[in-house]
Amino acid sequence: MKKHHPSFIASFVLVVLSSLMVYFIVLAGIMQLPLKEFCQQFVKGYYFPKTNSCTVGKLNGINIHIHLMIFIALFSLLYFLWHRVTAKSGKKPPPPLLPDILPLIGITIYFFMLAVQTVNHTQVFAKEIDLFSNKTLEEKLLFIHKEPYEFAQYCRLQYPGRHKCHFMSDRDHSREPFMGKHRTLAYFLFPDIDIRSAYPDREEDCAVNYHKTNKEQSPPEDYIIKGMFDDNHYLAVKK
Amino acid sequence: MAVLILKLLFALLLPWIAGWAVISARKDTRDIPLLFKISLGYGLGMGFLSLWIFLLGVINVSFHVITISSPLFVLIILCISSALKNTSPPGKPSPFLTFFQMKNFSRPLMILSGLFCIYILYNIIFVFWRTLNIPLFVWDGYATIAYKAKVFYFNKGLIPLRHLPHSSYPLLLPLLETWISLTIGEWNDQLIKFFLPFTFVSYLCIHYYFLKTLTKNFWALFGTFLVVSSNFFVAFATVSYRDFFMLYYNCTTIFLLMLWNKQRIDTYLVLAAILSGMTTFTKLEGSGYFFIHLFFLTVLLTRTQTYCFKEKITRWLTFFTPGASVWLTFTAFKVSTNVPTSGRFRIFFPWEYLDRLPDIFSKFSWNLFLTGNWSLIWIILVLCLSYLTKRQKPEDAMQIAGLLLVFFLLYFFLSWITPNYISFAGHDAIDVLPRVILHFFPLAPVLITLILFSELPQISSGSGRHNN
Repeated sequence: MKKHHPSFIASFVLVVLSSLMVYFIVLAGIMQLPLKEFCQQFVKGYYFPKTNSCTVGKLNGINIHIHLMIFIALFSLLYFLWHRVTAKSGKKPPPPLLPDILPLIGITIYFFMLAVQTVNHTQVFAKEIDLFSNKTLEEKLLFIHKEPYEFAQYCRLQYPGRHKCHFMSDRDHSREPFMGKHRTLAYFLFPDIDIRSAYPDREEDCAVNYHKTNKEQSPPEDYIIKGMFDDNHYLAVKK
Repeated sequence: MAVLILKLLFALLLPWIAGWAVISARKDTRDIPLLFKISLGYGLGMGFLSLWIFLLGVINVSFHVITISSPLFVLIILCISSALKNTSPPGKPSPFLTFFQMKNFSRPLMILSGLFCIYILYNIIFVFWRTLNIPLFVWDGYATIAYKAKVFYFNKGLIPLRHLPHSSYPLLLPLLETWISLTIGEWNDQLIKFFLPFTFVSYLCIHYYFLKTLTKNFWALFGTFLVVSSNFFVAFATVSYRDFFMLYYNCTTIFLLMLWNKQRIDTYLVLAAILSGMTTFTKLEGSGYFFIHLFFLTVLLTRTQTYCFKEKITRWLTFFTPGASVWLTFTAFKVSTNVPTSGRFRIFFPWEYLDRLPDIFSKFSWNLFLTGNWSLIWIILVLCLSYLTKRQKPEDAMQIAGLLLVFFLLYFFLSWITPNYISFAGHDAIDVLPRVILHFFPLAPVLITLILFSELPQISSGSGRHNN
């Protein structure tokens, strides 16, 4: 690679990009999609921000990165064949060997994909600005956490101070999907109401009933309802 | 509003200046660029602060801004005069200029560098905006980290850890969030993340300077651009997780050890030791990383001819003592308070679980190559390895490659022979695996940069301080 002129590198990058375009046009043809729609699907497919992972979309049922790897393999094979032919013809200087230009293929595709990723990223950024600007902290928290946040605020208003509460629910809060709601509720109930043993020395003096439809079991006998958020969510305190 | 901003700046700058002052007070740091010292000072200061709050909690002293900040003030007063003396040698150009200087760049390189800068700047703006405008929303953020911080804040001290969820987890981030709340005098679900973007910027400066020292300005910028292009890297700089701090401490330790090996500035070794110790106070995985750092140092010392055996032992102990002290202090505290030292560490015989291997390989490869977490960095790295396998093998690149291998082996074996299989290769892998890969992910862009630099030295100019 060291021996090759920057103009060779520039032309090579152009060849890689053009070939990639051809690959995608052929793919759009196979998928029987108009190019515009194909491009939209492609851009959307690249960046899905999830909490703990950014997934990659699919084209024609195949992960976009697998398409890129197929392209790299095809391109490398064609380059290898072309190299064999030109080397036999005695052309000088001979083109670089395949291992020499492999990183260049990768970096070219990387820059192309990065452009796509950035387009998507700016859209996500704009959407987040739209969603979160001009909102108070409470509005943002309500928008993100919804019902557990709202119920926690309700309970804190009903029973301010420092209390340790028994948590009652018909759902299993030791596993998802309910575990997340329970943790959110515990976080936002604190410091007025503790349902996760943060006040180890206090006696329980209330019961938080969350997603509690079975009225026969709750509230316990020596408790009275302090505040009714709705039929299934309420706060009971010791008499 | 102005008072709140001042309080936030106080919360941020006090530990930061203390960290910088301690580093700058040492004579052998005189020639280190100011921005690099500032960036290292951030991690050191935050580490000191969290450890100090922890020690106060252990001896049941109530958390109060004055109690917490006093030793930091003392540190600053003790170090500031020597620090200032060491910082601004007369007649030298502005430290900002020397850090980013790009003279002798050809026009195409200038344009490319400009684009890299714009992209990096865009991401910095994104990280600042997102952190400071979107309140807590991630699972561990409210379920464990901020929850613990909130409990400590309202309790004005530690409570027995066994009563808290995930009691064995280290406390760096919860205690920093407690500190922010104590300083501003309220619990704010948005502002407790205030310092996160500064971790991001500090890390980028360290990453850039490390590459600048080993290559040239253009390649340093390229390497920084590569690391920022990862969605996951940027996204995790905005959320209240411990993983970005872990990345900061882990990678900075490695870079400092490599810089120490090249330049023999002993402050680098001492700093590496403290920062490595801080990994153990950030996440449980830090204990493993501390031993990897120790192993790396041992390899470096074994191969060097500069020191005699006695000096090697002294250097080894210089690293081991501070790092192990942090680790042992927290471990001893956990043991004495009946808290499990580690959540999931039980070793099985590997042959009992041979059927796990296909899962481990498929989950690891899927995460590295088929998610949008890392852009195409790992694919490029594999392609670049074709350079390493055939011609000269640059020593720095080989060291980074070796470390990457060790980190992967660590997680490979943890998945295979411990119950952590569920997290790294089982049904939780989609959530957990990328977070642990993040801790050492920057080594991949560094390795790519070093390989390309060794292959394409003609595409470089500027004034790398140690190269020209």
